[in-house]
Amino acid sequence: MDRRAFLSKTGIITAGAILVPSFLKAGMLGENFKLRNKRLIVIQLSGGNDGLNMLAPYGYDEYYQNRPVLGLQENNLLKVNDLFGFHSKLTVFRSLQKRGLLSIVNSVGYPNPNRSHFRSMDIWHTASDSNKFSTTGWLGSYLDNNCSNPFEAINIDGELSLALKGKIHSGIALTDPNAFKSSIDSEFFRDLKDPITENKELDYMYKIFNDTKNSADYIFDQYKLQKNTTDYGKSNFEQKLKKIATLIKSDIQTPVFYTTLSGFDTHVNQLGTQDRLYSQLNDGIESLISDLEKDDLLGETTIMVFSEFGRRLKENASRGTDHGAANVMYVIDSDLSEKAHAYNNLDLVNLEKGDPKFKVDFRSVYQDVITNTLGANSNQVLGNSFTNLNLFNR
Amino acid sequence: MKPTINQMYHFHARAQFFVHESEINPNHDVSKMVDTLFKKQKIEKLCIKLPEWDNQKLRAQAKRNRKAQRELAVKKVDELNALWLERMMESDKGLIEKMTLFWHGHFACNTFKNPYHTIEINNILRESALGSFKTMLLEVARSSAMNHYLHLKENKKKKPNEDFARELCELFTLGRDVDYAEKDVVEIARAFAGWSNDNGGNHFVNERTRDIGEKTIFGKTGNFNGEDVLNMILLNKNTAKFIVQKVYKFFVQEELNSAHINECTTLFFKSDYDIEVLMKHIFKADWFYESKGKLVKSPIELIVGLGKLFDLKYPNKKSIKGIQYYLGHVLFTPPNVAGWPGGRHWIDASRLALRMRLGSIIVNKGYIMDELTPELDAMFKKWENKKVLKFYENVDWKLFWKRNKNSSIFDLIIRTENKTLKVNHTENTVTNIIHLISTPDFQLT
Repeated sequence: MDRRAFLSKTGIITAGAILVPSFLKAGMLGENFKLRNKRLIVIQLSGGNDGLNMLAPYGYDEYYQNRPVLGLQENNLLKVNDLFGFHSKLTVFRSLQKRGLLSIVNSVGYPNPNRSHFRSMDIWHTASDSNKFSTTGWLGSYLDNNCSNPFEAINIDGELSLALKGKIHSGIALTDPNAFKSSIDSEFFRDLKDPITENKELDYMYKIFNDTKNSADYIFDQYKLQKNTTDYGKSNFEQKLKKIATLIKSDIQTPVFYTTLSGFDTHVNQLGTQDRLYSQLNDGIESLISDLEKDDLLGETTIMVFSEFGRRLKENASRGTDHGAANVMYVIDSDLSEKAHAYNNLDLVNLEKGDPKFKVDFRSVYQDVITNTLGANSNQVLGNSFTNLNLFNR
Repeated sequence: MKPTINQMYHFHARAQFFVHESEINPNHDVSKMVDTLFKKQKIEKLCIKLPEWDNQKLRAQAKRNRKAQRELAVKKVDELNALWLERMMESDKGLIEKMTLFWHGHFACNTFKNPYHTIEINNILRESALGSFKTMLLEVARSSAMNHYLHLKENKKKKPNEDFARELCELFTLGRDVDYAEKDVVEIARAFAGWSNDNGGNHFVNERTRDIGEKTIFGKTGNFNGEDVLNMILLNKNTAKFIVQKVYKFFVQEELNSAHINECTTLFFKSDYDIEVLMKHIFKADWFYESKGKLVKSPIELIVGLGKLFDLKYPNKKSIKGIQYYLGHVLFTPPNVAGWPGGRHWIDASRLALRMRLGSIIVNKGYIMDELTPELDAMFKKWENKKVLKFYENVDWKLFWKRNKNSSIFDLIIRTENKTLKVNHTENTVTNIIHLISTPDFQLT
């Protein structure tokens, strides 16, 4: 008999029953709780990453016609094929691509693109149509349908992304497991007793409080299990990836990790900014990959990289680019299918308000990742089904 | 009805964030208590020194030095943010400002880059906060701020932009898919074509881009203009119902009670959208007093409530905006035109941890008891050293006790009926106060 059945049989079950610390529940589930699928790491590039200078379409005349100043020269690129080449800082993208571990999904977007950062990011976070407002994120919806603890989605950032907010369950945002634990750890907090009440909001508040305490303890305990000696760069972003890797290596029962790299809103003098950001992105991912490979964990991980929109094909007068629409995104995984390499397509002739038109709905990529990486029912999570991309060999 | 002291605290918490015991008149009945507060309200426009609003001139300046201009604008909006918080804490403005905060979430308009728009729309909401919803709706539709935010200026006869028309129906009046269809949205956009604002921000209708042709809206055909559409929308009782539901969720509880909603809707509609009539009715209803402790405080309510409780000044604008940011409720920066979702949406694990620490961080340097871990200590030191985020303020405890001589501090601070917590905090001591503001219970009002 499980605890809940026991409690209800003995008549102890009250409104407070939902307050059984969920971490205890997790422990009691034992083997069943073990992650059955892979872990997903989402990397969000905030500000609207200029995909056209990240993966430069050097084989297209229109690229150089529209970007006389900013267009990257062919001989500086890390060539992927006759048409595309990576920005010179992105060496690990090139090597992953050579090893067949990188799927480039180009011209990703959604119908009726919105060019506001906030709104477009909301659309990516909630996976909703561009004229609908939702308050639930796509990974939050995954949590609602599949998980019961906040630590099952960890956002290494100052604030929790809307993507990780569900109706019932939400993930946890933290910048440092130690500081997070101490923020909710005090003798007073430990001694606080659950209320006996009919007030549902109060019950909810104590439930989240208990979940937070237990999750903070669990994350802290996992984090200190072993010291991570892998070298990561000093930048904030690289250190965030190191925290993710350290937690994964502790075999933490967290299927979803999320973090952001900001600063991609390159309206002015974008070449220098991109050099700096792409170095951080590249070096961070390079360290992360080698860190995970050391412990044979790359096979259990999918990494997804996205931004809220791409940028205008035509450069502006300030050596920068303005807000655009469709963009390139990446999926890194050791089990990609043949098809995963067929989505690097771009049309620079038929534009929509000066921006490349979308060919792949971003929710198709989510759908594949939900089904294959997280092993969940994507229709339930997204509330809809989208074209199947078959990115994975599973 | 003669309210208990707890019911009085409940009313004031909901209507004006918080009051001390000394501000309460124990002899009042509910009706007198409510009417007295309404009478006391003073409308003072939000205003700071800005160069005269001249869009063309500003644009010309912006071209010369875009970055400096942008930074100055954001700084000015931060000033307005701090000023508004101050207003909310003033004793003769609590209700009017709480109402304005409600309308700020209803007519959600992101103006954090433009102090002129910020002042314009915020004062429109304040002027009608307890007045006529009809006036407010028309003024908002004519405002430069909303015009800009929902691209009304780009709505032209030849190239209609449906942004405003859609949100008008879905979010401001009727509610999603209530009594309107996609074809109404298209026709409503036509009726508003040409609505614009001049360089000084004044509303006018552009003769060249307006659409004087016949339109069919809500099954009626005619040469309707924007005002006609607003009137048609207001003639639909479901508009009154939609507003009442939102007010109920903000001031009473998340769970809608259809009897309460219907009773308020009929009244509000009959009164020709008189907000004061609606609010007085709610605050005098028996059922209002049953909702005590059942609403999640918004971050602004939490911040203002703490401010009024301890007479805080929140002197550092950056810090106070920082808290708003981390708790997800930055004034003038709603996430989108639907406003802040509210209720349980305010709470997630990380935010709850910060919310429960917030009071003790401000008044007691982060101590809830005598503990302070090295990590937390380092975090506070880092904040203080950087001089970026500074939270600590001295509380005048003498004044506090003078204002709250007779009441139990549990009743003063906590709205929930939590006996377990109450029995452990019967004594009126500073330690107990710091405990109580660090509980999950304090997150509710």
